[in-house]
Amino acid sequence: MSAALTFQTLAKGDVIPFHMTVTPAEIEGYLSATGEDPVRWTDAVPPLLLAAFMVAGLLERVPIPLEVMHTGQEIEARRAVRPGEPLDVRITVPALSQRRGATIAQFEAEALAGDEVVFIARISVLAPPPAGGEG
Amino acid sequence: MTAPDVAPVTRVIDQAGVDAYARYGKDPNPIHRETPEAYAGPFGRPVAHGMLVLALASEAMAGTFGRAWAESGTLKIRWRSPAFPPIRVTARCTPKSEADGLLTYDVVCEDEAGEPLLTGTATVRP
Repeated sequence: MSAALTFQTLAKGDVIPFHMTVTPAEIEGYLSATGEDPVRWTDAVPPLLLAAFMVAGLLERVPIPLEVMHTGQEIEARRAVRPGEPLDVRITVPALSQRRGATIAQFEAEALAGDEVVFIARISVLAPPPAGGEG
Repeated sequence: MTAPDVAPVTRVIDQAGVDAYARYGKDPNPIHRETPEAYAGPFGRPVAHGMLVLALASEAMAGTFGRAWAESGTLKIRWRSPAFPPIRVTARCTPKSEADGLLTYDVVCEDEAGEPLLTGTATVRP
């Protein structure tokens, strides 16, 4: 189901599932890029890394046009996620609307460890009207 | 408890840092890098990842609350302006309220002129 999704064909209610595990090496790389001290994150995954990787998982499965802008972001940690902990990610599309030719979409991404929701990210994006289209 | 002050985090985000984030943050979108797509794109030049700017706010909260930030932290923000590298960014988290152990902070990441790049709120339950 998710393999056929594109941003243009996305519909409210679509579900994008995938598995994710964050390795210690990935944490080290991420922190080298953000500049944060890695000492703090030896036994837990930085919350914003989780959100970033969930967005990456979404982008791998739903090609997003370059002009789409990431306009808002929410994260909600329910408990610390351990490095190497297997997670099931489930991304849904709770809101999708058109306004003056622009598309406004919201994605809600839940990370589960077994049956426990451990982290939630909500992502808002805006796609401007197609060039030459009605404004 | 009274919401403690959170030390601001300031960092220069340059193109090398953006390129590193593209790799390690798994966001290789060419609008963030020195590519033709960036110069033809909506900003006319490479723009830093919003999540890289936001990472400074998360770092500030983690610096004060440690593991509690990973266990109970929330952020809710909207981006206000693009961040064009190189740019000196400061993340400030200012105590706003406390209720039933939940601490709430106003969050802003701003450029050197004090212009907000993103604004929002953070909460944590230490």
